[in-house]
Amino acid sequence: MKKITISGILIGKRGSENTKTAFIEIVHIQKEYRPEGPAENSILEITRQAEKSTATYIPWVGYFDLDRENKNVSPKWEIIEPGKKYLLDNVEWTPFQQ
Amino acid sequence: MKSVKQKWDDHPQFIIRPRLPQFPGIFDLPADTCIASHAPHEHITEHLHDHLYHMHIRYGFELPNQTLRGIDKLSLHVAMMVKVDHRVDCNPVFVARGKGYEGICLKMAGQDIHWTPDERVGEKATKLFAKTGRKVPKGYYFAGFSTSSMDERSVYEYNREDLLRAIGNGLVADQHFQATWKKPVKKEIEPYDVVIYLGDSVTEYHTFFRLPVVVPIGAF
Repeated sequence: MKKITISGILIGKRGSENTKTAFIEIVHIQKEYRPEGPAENSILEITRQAEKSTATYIPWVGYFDLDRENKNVSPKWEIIEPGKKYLLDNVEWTPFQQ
Repeated sequence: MKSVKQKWDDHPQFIIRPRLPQFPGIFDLPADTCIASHAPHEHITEHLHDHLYHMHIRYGFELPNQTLRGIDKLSLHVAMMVKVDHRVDCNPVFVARGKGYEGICLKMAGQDIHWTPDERVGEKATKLFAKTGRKVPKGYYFAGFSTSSMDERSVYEYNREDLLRAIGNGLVADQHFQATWKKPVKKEIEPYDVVIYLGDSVTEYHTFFRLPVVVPIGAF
């Protein structure tokens, strides 16, 4: 499995880093990292677990999608606005769902 | 009691007419191509899903010179009948081809025209489609959109003056959308015909038309 560094802007998260269960972060990628990593202007879902982190594309395009998810799912997302700089090493990169 | 003609004359009027696309080359789509499926490719400004397997949905439209009788402000509506495992996202309205495969955006009220997903528009299109005696086939839905604020998080209504200024003696433009998998997978989207609904938030005027994968000679 290819491992990469993810660099972008954190725009939302669900769950807490302080618990043992996985939590999810939504990151907007602003530069081109293909072919090794994600594409410019893509949005990734990063699943963080104690033993590993994985990243995959999601088809979202911005904050609207977080607004909509917040209406439809539980637990709620924490919307991070304005976004914060995000950097995470050693992430398993699986761009497409299997 | 008012006659049918009087009732019609009293209605606010806003007219938008579909036509073939005007500007070949934007997003690497040739002339008279309404539907095209692409694999991931290099980034193009304003292209939303170039890194995913995506299907382009494109048509031209015309806003003829009109009086906008009875209209103070309105938002434009569009809905596309797509497969349930696809989502659609909107591009601005293009009025010319720009550098490379980019498009040049139409500005109204001093800003690019943006769209926000609007479930109410999808529901409205579904009801109006049923009124014509047709049903949305199983496995499809109308994905609805309204014109929006720049951040695409709330509906935006253009006022009469903005609309008149943009339409002038008549306006032709292209509208692009991109469908992609709701769960991105490494699989091409097999192109399919897409029915489009165009309307607005104020008037009863609306139109349905079908974008074919292969445009027949003499279409539109």
